[in-house]
Amino acid sequence: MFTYKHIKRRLLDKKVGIAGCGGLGSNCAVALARVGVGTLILTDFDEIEESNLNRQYYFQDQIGRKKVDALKETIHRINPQISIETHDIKLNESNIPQIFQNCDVIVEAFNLAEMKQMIIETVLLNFPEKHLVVGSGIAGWGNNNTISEVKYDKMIICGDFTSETGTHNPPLAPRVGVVSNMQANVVLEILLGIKR
Amino acid sequence: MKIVLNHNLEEFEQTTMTVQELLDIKAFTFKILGIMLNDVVVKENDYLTTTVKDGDAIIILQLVSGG
Repeated sequence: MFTYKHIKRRLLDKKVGIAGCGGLGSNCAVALARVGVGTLILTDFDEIEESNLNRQYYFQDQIGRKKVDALKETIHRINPQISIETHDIKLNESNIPQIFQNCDVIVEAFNLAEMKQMIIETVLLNFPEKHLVVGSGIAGWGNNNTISEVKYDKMIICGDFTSETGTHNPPLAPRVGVVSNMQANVVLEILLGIKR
Repeated sequence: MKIVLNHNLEEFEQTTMTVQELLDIKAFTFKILGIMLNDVVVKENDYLTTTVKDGDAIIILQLVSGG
């Protein structure tokens, strides 16, 4: 049995890459920071807009700022001990291997399906041994029972695998929060090496 | 037949169908990452020959936008 003291000690030297700091990435990163994952690599090229605040871990007074900078600041308000590396960059096939090479786990938290596809292929090609935690299907509300995780070798996919976001099926805090925290939970399972 | 598709109970007129027929009926347009029939992975080459029947649980993993 692990006490929280043991858990914190184990997480201290771990490094997790967050690919995209929107709804999935910002919430997942905060959860990992709260439990004490030693190093987080935050990547995003976007700025915070008011429309993000219905689900992303940002605040009114951060509108207009770069997501990676604002998230770093927020995480340090929660836990100043966390080491954070930020990349204000659009990820692609050539920069992903370099940015995430030392990560124990990579969290896929992009918005667009084609970007999700791109990082899956890039990680499989460059780091077949690395765990990748993907989010797919977070739109709408209700239907808790449709959300689950599926393991596919080193890749774990969380979500409902069906609901695409759109004008009539917006991403909202509760479901985005459930899936992003589910991703964080999978990351912990991998890092601690013990299934509870 | 009734099957559980991505955790939702769905009813079809057919008494049995192949995985490929199910994909055609549902007209999935998203990229399919993988399919699991009763917790067993169905390889892409086997979509035409693998049968789905009443009571089966199938997970069709699709990559959909939203994050």
